[in-house]
Amino acid sequence: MSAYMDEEDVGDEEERVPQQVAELARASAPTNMKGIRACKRCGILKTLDQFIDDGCENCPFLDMADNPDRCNLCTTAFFEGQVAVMDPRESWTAKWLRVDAYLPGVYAISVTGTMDKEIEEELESRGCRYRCRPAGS
Amino acid sequence: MNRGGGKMLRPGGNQPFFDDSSDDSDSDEEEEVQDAPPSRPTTNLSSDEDDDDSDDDDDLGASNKRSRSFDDDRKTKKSRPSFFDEEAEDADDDEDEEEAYGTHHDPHDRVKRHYTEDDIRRENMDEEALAIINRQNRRRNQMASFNPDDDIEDVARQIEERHRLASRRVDRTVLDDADIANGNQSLAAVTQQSLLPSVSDPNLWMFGCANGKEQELVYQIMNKCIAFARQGKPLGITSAVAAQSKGRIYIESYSEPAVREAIQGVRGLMAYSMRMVPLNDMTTVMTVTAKKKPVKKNEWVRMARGHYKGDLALVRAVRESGIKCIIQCVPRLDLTLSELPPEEAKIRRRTVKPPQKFFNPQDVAAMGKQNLARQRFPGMNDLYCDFFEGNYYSDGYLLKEVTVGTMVKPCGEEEPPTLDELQRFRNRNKNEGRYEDDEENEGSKMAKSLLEELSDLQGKTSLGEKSTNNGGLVIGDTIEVIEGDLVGMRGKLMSIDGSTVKVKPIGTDNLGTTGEIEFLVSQVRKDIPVGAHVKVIEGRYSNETGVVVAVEKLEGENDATAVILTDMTHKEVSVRISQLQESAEVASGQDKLAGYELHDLVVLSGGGSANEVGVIVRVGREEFTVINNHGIVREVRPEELRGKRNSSSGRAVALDVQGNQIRVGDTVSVAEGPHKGKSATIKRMNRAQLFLYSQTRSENAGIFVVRSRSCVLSGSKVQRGGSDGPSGFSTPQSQQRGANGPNRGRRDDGLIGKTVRIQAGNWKGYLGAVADATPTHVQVELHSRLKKVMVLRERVAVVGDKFGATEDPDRSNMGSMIAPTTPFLGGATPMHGGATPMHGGATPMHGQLSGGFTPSHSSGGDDVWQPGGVIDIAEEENNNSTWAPGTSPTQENDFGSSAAPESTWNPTSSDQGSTWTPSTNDVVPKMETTATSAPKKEEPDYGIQGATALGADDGQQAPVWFMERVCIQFNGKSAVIKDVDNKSAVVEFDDKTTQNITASECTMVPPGEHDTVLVTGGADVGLEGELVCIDGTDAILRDPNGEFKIVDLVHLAKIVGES
Repeated sequence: MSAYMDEEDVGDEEERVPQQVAELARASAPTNMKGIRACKRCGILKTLDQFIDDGCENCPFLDMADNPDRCNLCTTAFFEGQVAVMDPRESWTAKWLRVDAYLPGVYAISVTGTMDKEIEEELESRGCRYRCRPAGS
Repeated sequence: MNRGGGKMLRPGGNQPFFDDSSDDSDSDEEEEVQDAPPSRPTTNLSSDEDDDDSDDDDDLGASNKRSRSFDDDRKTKKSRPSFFDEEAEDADDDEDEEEAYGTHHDPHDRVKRHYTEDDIRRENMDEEALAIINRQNRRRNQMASFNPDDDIEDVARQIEERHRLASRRVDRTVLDDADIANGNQSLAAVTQQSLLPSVSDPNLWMFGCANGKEQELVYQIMNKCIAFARQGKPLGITSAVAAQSKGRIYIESYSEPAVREAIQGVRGLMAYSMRMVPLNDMTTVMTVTAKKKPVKKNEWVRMARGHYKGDLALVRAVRESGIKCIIQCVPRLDLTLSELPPEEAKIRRRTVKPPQKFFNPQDVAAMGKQNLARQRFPGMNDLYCDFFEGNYYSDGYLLKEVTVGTMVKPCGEEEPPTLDELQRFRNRNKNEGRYEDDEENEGSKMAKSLLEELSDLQGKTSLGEKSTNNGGLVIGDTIEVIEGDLVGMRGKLMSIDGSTVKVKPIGTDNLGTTGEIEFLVSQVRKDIPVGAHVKVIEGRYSNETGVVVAVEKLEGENDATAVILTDMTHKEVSVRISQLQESAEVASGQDKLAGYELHDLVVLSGGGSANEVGVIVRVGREEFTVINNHGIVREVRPEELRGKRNSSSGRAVALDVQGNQIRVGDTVSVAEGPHKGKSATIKRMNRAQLFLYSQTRSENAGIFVVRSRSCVLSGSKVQRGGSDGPSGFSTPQSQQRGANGPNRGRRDDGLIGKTVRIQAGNWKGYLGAVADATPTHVQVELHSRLKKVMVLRERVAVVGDKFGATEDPDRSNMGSMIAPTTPFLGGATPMHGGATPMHGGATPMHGQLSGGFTPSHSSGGDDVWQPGGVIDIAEEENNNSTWAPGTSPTQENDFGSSAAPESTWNPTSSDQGSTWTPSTNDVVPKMETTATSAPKKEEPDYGIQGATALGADDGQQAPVWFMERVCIQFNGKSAVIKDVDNKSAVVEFDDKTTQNITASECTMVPPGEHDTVLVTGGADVGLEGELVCIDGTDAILRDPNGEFKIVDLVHLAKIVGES
């Protein structure tokens, strides 16, 4: 039994690490201390430029890449707290912020503001749930 | 290879990583097949197959939840169609798929089971996973170019997988939407609650760092992690947190060494300050409050920098999702700057804060500035502005695009716009007529509308501290959690301790919640339902009470606004819920405003009539409700009031229907009019208008207005008067009384101040001044001793009045007064003689008369009590004497209950006349030779003589019953008195003809049973009622209230019922 466990765990680790490490390796932190925005849907923090260049990795359907207007609409500068999540699957903080299903990255603890009506509808039609998380949740 | 971090990832020192070397062959193989991107560490890629197998095999043994959830994670991810995974798993795939729907061992099945569990955290995963799938697919499609032929199975699987995920997603979306639609917030709270950390979660370690470096450090650590991950050497930390705690960051990891490794080389972090965060404090770490707030259009902000620092500005437009905004504010331009040499200008710019002044293009142009232009404000199409030195000015205001947070700060509750500032915005339009096209200036309009709210805001500031302390929370309040993990929960406030409150949840039985939960004060809000009766405890509407008719939640604010229908004014007011408290109390208004109090008699300036007065019946926040002398209730503002008349009201005397003097404080019953039958206390009086106060009335604070003539003095002190109040006579009388102050009144205070001689008892023979008087006793302050003694009223004789015009307030006193009368009168003549030189003394002729003065003065034998005060006292006496002879007999002797008034009247008046006339005669000749001012003094005497004559004419006083509505017999015909004028009256006969008759010509119709009668005397004077039966000399009548009264029949007069 214990041998099994060991084996499984070993396998588990092995499997998990590449996946998560790979994701982490691809993750991006804000490149600048200024101009940081939070994605209104997932709360990931990047600079506006990063959003424009890469879009939001969690919310590709927001279609922010190369679309500054869209970036402005879908991101907000009004957020509080930063959590750098390296391992969303394991991290309790990620779980608490409900970003555990997202990719590694820096996330805001709370995001203020609401989605644009238009985008809101769009998201709903896609069946995507979004949350502009209230402070503290 | 450094795998230390990775190895320590699992709690409890779980298994070390799989040996990478064992996979090498596989991975090499794969690499050969596939060009793996360089960023992917090849060493880790290979594990898939082995892992999968072992996973399947070992599943049964995996009893601990931890590993299961690991599997879940892995499987979930695995379910993503990763090319590499597919390649690796190719061989097992079919088997896998079959098992997926069959056995429990299958990882996919586990995935399924995982979703059917209540693990709501995982619920999110699908959409997110889908997003990730999409994204990764895309990425891989871009990255990798593989042989499509190899992937057919994969593609099929992928589609199936996606389908499954999608359908699941839909289900859950439906569920969640239903939750949200039901407003089931407590479920959401529970959802968050389920995320509370457990022992199986990684630990948090706290580190100290420099203030303000938190964010940077977290990014640094993130970057370090990314860098290490790229090298394939992941640091074993799961997250790093920079919340709102200053100088602290938190690192989350399963293992402490991993944390140490992660922070190695990170500057600014104090490694030695490492401390583990207890499990229950972890959520606290993650709690933040939103400090920054996006500004909204038409919000007030304050400038934060430069000369404008602290200035009020209005947000005209918001740019870049609230990061920037265009504000409007009053410019601070220094036009002199450009004329100074650059150095000076530089200094001046730095030091001198130019005053606020509206931009005026004419002024600027007049100064010879060339660079003035008129152009559009960028981004605001139809707004033409004056452009000057890089700034835009619209309608005199400066328009500027600024960054929120750095350049401007929201105008919070700490610093609400002041009246002054708002007026500066508003006044712009008034002052400048030039911009008529810009009349609809938004700033001005906003300021105007906000001026209303301002006092509210100001009220908040004054009480701001209080409200920030506990938000007006009181134990027992129902509260709603507005922040934190239990948001939306309702509960009852059990206790407050500083900034924390204990709450007992309401309606959470089904959730199994026990006991009380602690919250920060800021996390809860008072919850007041519509329909509650509340009291406003602070702010502008403080102390109002009312019923909540609506509750409006404000966008972006924690507090909500309740609309209250106030009890007092029945107006709707909006009040913040934090300022409310549920209460059954009904407010009766405030006590004081602008120096005026409830029940003050005030002079009103508003309205038509000049002499309008009123009594305050309600003190509002900003206005009074006043009932005026016509009984009309209206609201007035403090500015409309022209002072109080309480004191003059206190001095005033009026006559009731029977001629009784009534004053403030007397109790009267209303004999006629709409308030007939009511009994009340005179609160205030103005001329003939009485403001009566009845505690039993609630409207107008118990105040109502009645003419004095409609009232009857009630109580034991009623002096029955024979006079039915001939108005021509009594009005001047009352005025005289009022002017002369205490004379002889109902209270016998006429005796007060008089000098009396005690005639019996221990103090017999002593002289003294009456300090106080009651109906039975007088308190005499002895002249010869510093002592006050109480003496029976009968035992004192007034000696201080030199004119024989002694007042006999009481019949009881009369007897004792008889004796001193003769000597008294005898003494009067010399006394009066003594008075004459006093007049002289008051004039320049004093010296001439001084010879005669002294003897005459001393001749008044009782002048011992007038040491030195001759002139004043005598003058006062003289004053009294001018009217006293006329009035006192009329009042006393005539009104007395004696059967023949004339008999007492005549002697007295003749006495008066005899005493008076010679004295007058005595005076007048002297006056002729002496002072010019003297005749003036004498004038009243003539008047009084006239009055006396009038009094003599009154020998045939109208009977008591001679009043309006009384039924009379005249020449055998029955009639009703319609209008009484002194002793004559207009009567109306049965045939509606009227005639003017005098009182003596008619007789009263004796009342019979079932007649409507008026009580004209006795204790119930003024009462109207139905005569029920006559029993000898007594009559039983029923008053309007249905009560029965026994009254002397002689006091009854038949009247016609009120139509």
